[in-house]
Amino acid sequence: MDWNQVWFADWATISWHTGQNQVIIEELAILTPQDIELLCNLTDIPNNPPYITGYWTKDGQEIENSEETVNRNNEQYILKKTFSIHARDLGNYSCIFRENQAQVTFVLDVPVIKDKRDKPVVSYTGDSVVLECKLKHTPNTWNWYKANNTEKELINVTANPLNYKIFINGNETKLTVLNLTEEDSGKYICSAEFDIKPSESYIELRVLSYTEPLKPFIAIVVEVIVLVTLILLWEKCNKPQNDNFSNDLCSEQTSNLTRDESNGVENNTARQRKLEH
Amino acid sequence: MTQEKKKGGVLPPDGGWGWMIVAGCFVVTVCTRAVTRCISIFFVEFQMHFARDYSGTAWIHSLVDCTTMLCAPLGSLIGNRLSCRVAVILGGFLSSIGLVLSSFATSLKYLYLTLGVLTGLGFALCYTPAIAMVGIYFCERKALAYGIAMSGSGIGTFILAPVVQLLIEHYSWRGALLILGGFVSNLCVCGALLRPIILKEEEACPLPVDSECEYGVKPPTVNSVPTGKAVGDKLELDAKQRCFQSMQEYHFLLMPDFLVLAGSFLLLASGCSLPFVYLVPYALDVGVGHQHAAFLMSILGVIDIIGNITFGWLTDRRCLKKYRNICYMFAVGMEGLCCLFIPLLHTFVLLVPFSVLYGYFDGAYVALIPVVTSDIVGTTYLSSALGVVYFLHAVPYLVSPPIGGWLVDTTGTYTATFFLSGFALISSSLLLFSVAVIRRCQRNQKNSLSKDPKLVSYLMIIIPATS
Repeated sequence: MDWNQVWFADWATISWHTGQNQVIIEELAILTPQDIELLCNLTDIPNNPPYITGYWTKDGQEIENSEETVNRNNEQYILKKTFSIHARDLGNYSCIFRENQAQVTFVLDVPVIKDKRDKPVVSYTGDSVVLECKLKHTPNTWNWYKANNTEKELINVTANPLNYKIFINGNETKLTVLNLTEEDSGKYICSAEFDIKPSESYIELRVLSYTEPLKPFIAIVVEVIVLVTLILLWEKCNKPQNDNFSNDLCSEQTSNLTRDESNGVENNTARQRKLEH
Repeated sequence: MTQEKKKGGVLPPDGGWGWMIVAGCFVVTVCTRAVTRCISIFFVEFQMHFARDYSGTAWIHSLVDCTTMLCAPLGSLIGNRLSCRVAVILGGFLSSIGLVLSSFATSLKYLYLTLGVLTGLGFALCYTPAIAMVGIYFCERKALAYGIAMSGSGIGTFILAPVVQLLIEHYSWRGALLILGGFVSNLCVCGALLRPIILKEEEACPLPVDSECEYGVKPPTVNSVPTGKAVGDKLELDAKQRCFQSMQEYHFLLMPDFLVLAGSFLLLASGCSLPFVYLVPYALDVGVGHQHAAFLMSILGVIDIIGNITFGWLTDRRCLKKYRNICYMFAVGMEGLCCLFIPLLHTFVLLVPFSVLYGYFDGAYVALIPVVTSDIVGTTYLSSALGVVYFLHAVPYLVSPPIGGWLVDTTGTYTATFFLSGFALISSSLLLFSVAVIRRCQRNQKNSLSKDPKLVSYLMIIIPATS
């Protein structure tokens, strides 16, 4: 054991409440292979027994020979264990006290790229797009890959200077893809290289052609033209009724009609009189 | 029909086609004010694409807002010269082209020009004529009509914000700007709806006035120049009449009442934009969570809409109509008072009533601005007056948020900024109030003096009769 590399993790204090099953989770970011001491401190147990037993699990499976008897120490029970962590040892470590099932879980993993876009990035043919990855810790370097089905293909800027640009600034990286074509659509993987294991995240890129947004646009413009024409036409059709000239015309016609009607009535009555005679 | 004379003068319809005008103005407000607010959603995309920081992209929003307000007099000028319909259709065309061009942007400066200047100019050409038309078509229910029309900015923001977000997700910012340009071309439809109407040449709408309140003074209308042209069809004029008319159009600028109103608007615009910008940062500073802070802004927006419509309806009631100006002063004053209480509010639960009250009174005064303006200058000059009023809003809108930011940086708290806002609003209200009080005293004095001459002339009439 190389003591220079022992890293004392944050220790978690569990207070036992009657009838409550608490699961506390602590996340630890591991950058390099190292030895880590995990410590669980249990306080406030009702009966204050002189000793209790506790054991460790990894990913839900009890670690062999990890069960320990912990003596009471000023009303605290401290369970600790040192683990040698390499790439394959990353996972969820839990300390469990047998008597009361109190549990603390330490999640040991490389730093996770959290602010990931779950929606695909959209861009257009001939345009350029910027894909970004950010982390809290600074990796040794960043790498970008393009996923082809199940394989990853490293993006090499020196081989394709016209198509790709990679910008690396400590804990963030940006990939600029230029001169987009439809084949550039797909999954892009940014990989933060740490000593222990790389941390990866993916971004999906969709490349559209210009006709895609053009369709709704033309639909709306056509709707606007139709509505404007309709409104102006309606106004023009209604307008002649309001003119004085056509009012006179209308009244003239109606007065002619009434005269004809009254003539017609007179004629009828005249005929009736004739018939009666 | 019997109201129509041979010259074509009509009383304000107060309904009928007027409601189509209100619908048109509502859509104009949605397409201009709401789209302006939604432009800030594009900032993150612009920052990523052009690799610039927040201040570079924030200029776009300021440019659009500023250009819209600065060019408002231009909008009212075109509305007067040609017609409101032509102005709005032209504005819709320009802003639509601006948005479509900006979808092809290759740099941020290009965006400043197309999105900032061109689109802002288009919006300016639409905004003032549409609002003026509502004032022409309505008399009795003017405040309610304005309330409904102005609520477009709140409702529009509420609906457009998620829609724009969705468009950006599906089509990226270029496609979203293109489709937004298509959406904004609906301004042309609103323009087509703005049917010209010629009102009677004298003031057709009796102003809600009691004899004591000076705000009833009308500008002298000269009948020889067809002033109905302010909203009417094109008439044949020769150059001399045109010159005379432009003097006539801006005659109201010299009215003392309008000058006082203009001063109060300057103060108002300085104060009212600050809380909108600094409420969320203040909430975050005080310890409110991100989601709760965003919720405060949503509450503000929704209550804004309610304030628009209900206050407009309220001030149309006969009992309150005479006191519309006092209602306006009250709304502005209460807004200022709310701002002064901010330093005492440092939890989310305490900030919610602030959002509610501030949002309500903000909606209230926005609906009343065109009403109060038309009460002072009359319907004929409403278009030009509104142009000047919104022009006066431009510079404070541009200047006061950075000043607020400077105050925050130097004092370290947001108290000074909110106090500035509160005092500006309260002084705007007090200015109007004190002038109203002075006028009232002057009137009382005049009335008491003029009683005597009446008596004398009465006696003179009696004496010859008896002699």
